[in-house]
Amino acid sequence: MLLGVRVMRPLAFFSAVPRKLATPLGSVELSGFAGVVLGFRCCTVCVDVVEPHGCDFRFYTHSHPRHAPQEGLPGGAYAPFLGNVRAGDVLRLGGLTVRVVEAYNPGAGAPHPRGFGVGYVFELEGLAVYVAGDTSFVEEVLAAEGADVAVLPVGGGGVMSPEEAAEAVRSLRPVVTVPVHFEDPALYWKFKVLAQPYTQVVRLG
Amino acid sequence: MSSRVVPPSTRFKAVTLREYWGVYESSVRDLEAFWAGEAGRLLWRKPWEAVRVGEGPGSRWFAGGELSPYENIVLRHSGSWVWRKPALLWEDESGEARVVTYSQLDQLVSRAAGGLRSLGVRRGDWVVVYSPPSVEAVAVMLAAVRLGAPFEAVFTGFSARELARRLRRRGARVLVAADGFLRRGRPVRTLEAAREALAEAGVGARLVVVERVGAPLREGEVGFDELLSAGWEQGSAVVPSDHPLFGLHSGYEEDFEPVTHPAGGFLAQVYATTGWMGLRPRDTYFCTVWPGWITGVAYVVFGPLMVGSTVLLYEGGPDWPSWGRWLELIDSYAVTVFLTTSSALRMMARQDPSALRGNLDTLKAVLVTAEPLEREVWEWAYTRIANLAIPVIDSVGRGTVPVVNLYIQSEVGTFVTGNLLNYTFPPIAPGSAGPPIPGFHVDVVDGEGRSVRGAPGRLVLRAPWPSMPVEAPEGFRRRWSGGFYDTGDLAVMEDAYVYPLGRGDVVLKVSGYRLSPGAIERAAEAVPGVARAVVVGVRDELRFEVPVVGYAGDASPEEVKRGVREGVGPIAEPREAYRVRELPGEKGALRAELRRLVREVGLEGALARLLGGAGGCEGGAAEG
Repeated sequence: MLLGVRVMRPLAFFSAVPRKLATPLGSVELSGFAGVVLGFRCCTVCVDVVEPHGCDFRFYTHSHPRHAPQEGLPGGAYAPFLGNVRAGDVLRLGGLTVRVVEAYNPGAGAPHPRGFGVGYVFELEGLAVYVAGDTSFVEEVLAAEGADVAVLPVGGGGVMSPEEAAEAVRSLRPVVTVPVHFEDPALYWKFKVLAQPYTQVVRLG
Repeated sequence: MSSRVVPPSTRFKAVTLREYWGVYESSVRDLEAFWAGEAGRLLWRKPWEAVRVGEGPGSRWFAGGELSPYENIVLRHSGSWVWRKPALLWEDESGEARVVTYSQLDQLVSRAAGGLRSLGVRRGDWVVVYSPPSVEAVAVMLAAVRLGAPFEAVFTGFSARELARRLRRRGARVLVAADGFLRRGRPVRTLEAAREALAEAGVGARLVVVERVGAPLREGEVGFDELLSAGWEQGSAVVPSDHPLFGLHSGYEEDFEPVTHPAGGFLAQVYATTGWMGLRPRDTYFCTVWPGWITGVAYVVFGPLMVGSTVLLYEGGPDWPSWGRWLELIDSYAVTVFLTTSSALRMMARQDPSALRGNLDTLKAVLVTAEPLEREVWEWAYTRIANLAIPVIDSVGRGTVPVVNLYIQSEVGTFVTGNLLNYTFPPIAPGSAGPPIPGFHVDVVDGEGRSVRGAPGRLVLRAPWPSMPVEAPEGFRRRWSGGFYDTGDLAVMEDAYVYPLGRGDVVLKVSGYRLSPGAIERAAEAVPGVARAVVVGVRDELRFEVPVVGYAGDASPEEVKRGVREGVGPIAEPREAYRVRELPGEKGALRAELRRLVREVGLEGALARLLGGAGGCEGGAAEG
């Protein structure tokens, strides 16, 4: 089915920004500060969702509190701090392929040193979604080239700044980019101005 | 002139009026050579033998030429980087969003075309679409194009009765309708109107339902997923240049009348003007005009996709939960070109500024269509919407990017006047609809057909244009005389700039949409207790013009207003209905006289003098 029947729900709320973005092959929904729920045809994948519900697979990029539960981590999760994924791995979960890529800040004293966290590229039936995790725009990010959807941090500090994230977009050329990991909307505004010519920016909320 | 404005943004290049005249005069000096050059940018399967044959309304362009319209709209991007980029973005009021790339759109269209073919749609058959802007609606229109079947999109604000008239006049083979959609937080159930219209039309058309609210289908009705499952249509029809591409119903004095545009001429015009007005593949474009009106067809379904832009569709009300909704969408999707109507800007200008949230820094232009844009409203839009937060030298406190009003008419098919970001952009004259667009020989003339400047006259085109309708009512042909086409609009032309003033006849222009007084009168006269009715347009601060009905009979004003709302649609609902003693004389003369008097002595005075006074208006107006 290319396009499913979408039955409207009664409107008990209103969101100023779109809640969920669907492509003919899957969907992306934000959860929390930098988490996403990816709806593939095979399964639902939660990445950095602190309170996951209804997920077939749970992935975490690193252990910081806004990305992973600090206690009561659900069984069966994948995370570098659990020791079951590291950059360079390729997992096959049913039809879903998961490529684990580097995510870090270069230099000494960085909040996310190399090996501390990872990013993921999820691929199924022609849809590739890159969830960058907390990373600078390091060379290894280019491993996600060709992704259709990129979920990129734009908040600066221990992650890409708006300018860095825009550079990443220029290199990766994702069809759609969903910015995450920012509190000040000005960071999003800066990012969209720089990135929009090279991708379709969609702000989810 | 000091009152003219060149916005400080560097996202376009301004030219002097002298440079503009050079380009424009060169284009109208040899229109055939000019448009042949533009048509040469289309993909032709067989070259034309003559640029134009025939005269006036009988002109046919690119005679002997053949092309595939679908190839020119979508397939032209196959193999290029555009193929992988979003063609359509869509959002509804619940916050659900979708994105469809060009390649995915092509797959969808291929399947929808296969479905239409399985329902018996063949080249030349009409497909009617009754839906809010949606991925499915655009896909079905393109699927019809792919089969060589013309389509008509009917605005969902029109009633079942008006939809039935369109189905009947087109002899539609298939009606594609949404079963409903959210507007202002409530479901609008379009399926009931679609069923009622089909029953009334009696043309035997099949009903395809785009399931949004999940209404159960009846026997014989086809769900959209079922339509898609019938098979793929791999080819794309190659048609003669004058093959009917799409149509709409345009407001004339007695009724809404069918107008049909030809494939070759229309595509040449819309491709050229879309690029000129600023769209490029890198743009994300949001047009608030729904398909069903000429701007919403030409500049949603055709032009932007031909150019390779990304088109944002919003399926919801403009003012829910506030008039800031569109600005939030511009922010969320990093929209670069925003096209809306003067009426919408007037409404927005009246809102509490705190409701108009959203960062608009990606905008490179605000385009305005369909009606006069008063200087004050232009100033508001330039100061508020076009004044970006991102710093640009000289923009502090006022605008950054252009606000450009453009003039369009259904019969011409595309914009005819306006500053063009990617072509001729002399300084903006606020209050105007810009200068004539190259390729359109525009003039303002007096009663004898002599050019007038600096004073009101009739807005005319002195030469045929490529998208000359291949089907048009007698009223269209009557407007050709003295070697020019009278648009029916009044305007002032000064220097190069055209200042539209509204209609010069009795046809109404409500929120930019052309409405037929005859159609409104018929709906009023269908109300039990109404013997006769006459409609006049009166000026309105927000909607430019609104219908007012005078009627003779015993019905209450509320019944008459409801009758029009249900008979024509909410957009035609009269602001007021006045019960009068009599409606003397022939209807056409009565309308014209009433219109003249309304402008001279106001509505109350006109009713009193011509119709024996108002006795039943809302608020209890006294007998005149």
